Amino acid sequence: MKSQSVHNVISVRGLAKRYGGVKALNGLDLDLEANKVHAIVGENGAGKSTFMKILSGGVTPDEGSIELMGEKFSSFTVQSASKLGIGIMYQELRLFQHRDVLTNLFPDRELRVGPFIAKKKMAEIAIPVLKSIGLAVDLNQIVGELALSDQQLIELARVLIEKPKLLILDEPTSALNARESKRLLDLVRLLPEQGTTVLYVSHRLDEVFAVAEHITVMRNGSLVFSKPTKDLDIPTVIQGIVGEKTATSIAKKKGSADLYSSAEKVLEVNNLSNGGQVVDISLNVASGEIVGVAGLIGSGADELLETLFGARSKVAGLVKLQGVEKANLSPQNSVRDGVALIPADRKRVGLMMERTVSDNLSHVSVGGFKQGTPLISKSGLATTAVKLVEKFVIKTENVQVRVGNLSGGNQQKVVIGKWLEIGPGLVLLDDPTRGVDIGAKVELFRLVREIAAEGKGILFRSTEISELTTLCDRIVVVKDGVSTREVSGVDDAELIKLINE
Amino acid sequence: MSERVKSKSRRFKFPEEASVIFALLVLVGIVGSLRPTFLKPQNLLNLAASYSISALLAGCIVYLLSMGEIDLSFGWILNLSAVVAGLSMIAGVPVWIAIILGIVAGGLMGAINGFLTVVMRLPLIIVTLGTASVFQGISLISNKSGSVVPTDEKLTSNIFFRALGGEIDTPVPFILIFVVLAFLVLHLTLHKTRFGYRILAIGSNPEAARLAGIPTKQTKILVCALMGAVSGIGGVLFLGFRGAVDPSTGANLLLPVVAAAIIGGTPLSGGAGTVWGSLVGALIVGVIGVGVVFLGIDAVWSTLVTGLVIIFAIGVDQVVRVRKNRAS
Repeated sequence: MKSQSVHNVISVRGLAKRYGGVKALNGLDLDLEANKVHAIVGENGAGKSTFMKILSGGVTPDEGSIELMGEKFSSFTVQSASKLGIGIMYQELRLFQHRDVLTNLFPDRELRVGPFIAKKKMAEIAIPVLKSIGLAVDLNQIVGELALSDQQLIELARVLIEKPKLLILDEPTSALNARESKRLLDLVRLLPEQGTTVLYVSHRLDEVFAVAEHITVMRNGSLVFSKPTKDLDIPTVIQGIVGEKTATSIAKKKGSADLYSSAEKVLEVNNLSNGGQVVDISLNVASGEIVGVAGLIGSGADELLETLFGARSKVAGLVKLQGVEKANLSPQNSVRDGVALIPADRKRVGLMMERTVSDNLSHVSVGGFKQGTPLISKSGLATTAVKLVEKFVIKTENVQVRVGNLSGGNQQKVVIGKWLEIGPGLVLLDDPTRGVDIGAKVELFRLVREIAAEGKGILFRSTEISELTTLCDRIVVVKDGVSTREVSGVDDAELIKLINE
Repeated sequence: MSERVKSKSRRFKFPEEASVIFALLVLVGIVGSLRPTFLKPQNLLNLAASYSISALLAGCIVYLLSMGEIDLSFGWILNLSAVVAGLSMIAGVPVWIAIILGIVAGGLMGAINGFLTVVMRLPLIIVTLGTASVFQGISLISNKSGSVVPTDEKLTSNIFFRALGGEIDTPVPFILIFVVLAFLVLHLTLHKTRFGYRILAIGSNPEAARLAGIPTKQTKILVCALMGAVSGIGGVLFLGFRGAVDPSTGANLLLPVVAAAIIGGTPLSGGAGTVWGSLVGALIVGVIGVGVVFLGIDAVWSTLVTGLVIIFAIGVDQVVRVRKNRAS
């Protein structure tokens, strides 16, 4: 059966790319039809991002042929990509934080009248595009002052202004809340009608199923399958992504809150406020219990954990740890009191990316924790690090490797490992699966359950509803900075309704 | 199934200071082959002794660079500390007490730098841009823009002046022994203690350090105070070594000291630092300074050459770093 290349926007044969000894792409054959939304899914390291980079001309393949929109290329450059109308929106924001919205929408291709920049002309083009994605911002506002979700939409608008024939979206909803994500997905679904083919890369399978007509699964640099969405279901796709090592889709906990009602309380919070997004939150966590925090971005759920840890200052309210009231919350006191924070942005505030795994694993036990001698030895740190690496199954060649070279999931395990070394009684997990692939997510969940089983209390905040309903014994719903209710044993749809109502 | 995780990588690695040591030997070799008298042990020891104060400061500025900060005021801390010690001696304070007063004054000035940077949440470079002139101003006012010279026989006959001034014969200049010992302490403190670990952690990622429970503010103030105290020691050593302080003492220290640390392999980006490297770096700066004189080139050329060597050193460092990141 031969596919007619005329209808294929992308047609690649035997595409291969090697980095040193690692095969990022291993003979990929793929045909994708025009004017559809295609999803590409796979674990980190499956070859998705290498494939995207080849399509945008940023990376030259070692072998194989590429045919794009009917044109055959032997070598493919950034120039030929933009000539063909290929637009790409990366997961990481690439905006000029100190400049205004309009300037950011026309980076290095501003419209001019003579030598002068034609602001009016640019605005005329920009306004309809911003409107179409439902973004109401002042064109003169400085981008750095906008919410992260608005910035992500500006990044999208900047690509859409070019009216690309092929639009590549890499995790476009990672900073958006449920409502904004839905709006973006609705918009993406309409793009094929306007002559834009979309390649949608995401870890969120519910989104992929909502938006894509066709799903391509990659693993270890090769194609696993590429099928219309209607012939697939989520378990099949997960199986394809993780491969042989059975997906063991994480078993769900059902309404187990009662088990802990009489257990000792690790954390009790009454009427907590931080003078910002957290207005009035009350909750408690028992020993061995996993309590979820559900809320939209900006609802206060995202600031709650940092406030409890003392990274943001508390203004009012009562916080009790192991039954003892704590008036002064600070990171230093939290370390002493056995409270761990696994922060949401591990690259920015969780790790020393340039330092070794060993140095990072001793961050809390040596740097923050006051016990033990003030003298340290490199071999002593390494011995402890090796023990932790084995305990948490962190995949690294040795403990003297830069932590920045590890995959997202393994980096997250380093952050968890450095905290568990001091034996905390309460672990605050702030969106720990962000940027972590599905295989690693399964492992992280198992790890979180093990930690809880050791009798530690866990407060778990996530932007993914299904994670909360899967992992938590009890879920606290936060709206406009107030904890409105606690639920147990709800399903995803019910919880989405609760946080949005 | 899974291999045991190794605590060390297999490949043999040269110590990170190897390349600077090599560079130093090449420089000494070049000058020595053209002017053999340069290689006389006495000459080399004198060279080392005259650059030992800037070496000592370089060893301590490594702490600040490792923390991602830089102090521009240490030259004037050195000056004012020496003035404090000198004026105290002239006023009749016993020599050893005056020395301690000088060092304490230096420590206090450093602590003020640290306190201001923490309270105002400004980079130390900005704070010390201001305090440098403040310390210089106080020094000028207190000695009325003149030199401070303890000339009294009772003072100059003190063992402190005689030892540092070279009147007591030792095979190795006393100041050199002191500085090498100080380097040993500085090295061990940075790499073998919790305090040192905290400095490097703050330099690697300040916010992550704070969230790991590291007392970042106290650590910053302590490091600044240490830099001040070491500058104070430098000032007192200078007073003993030269026998006088004048208003320009310390004015030209910034370049050789920071250059020594950077040439030695300490990056400006924070999170890493080599104390021994800065010692070698200080010697390189010294060999350039003295070498041009030996080669009969006008001494004004040494500043130009030092500048070129800095650019070369950071260039090589950058190439190595980019390669390393690409390989891994």
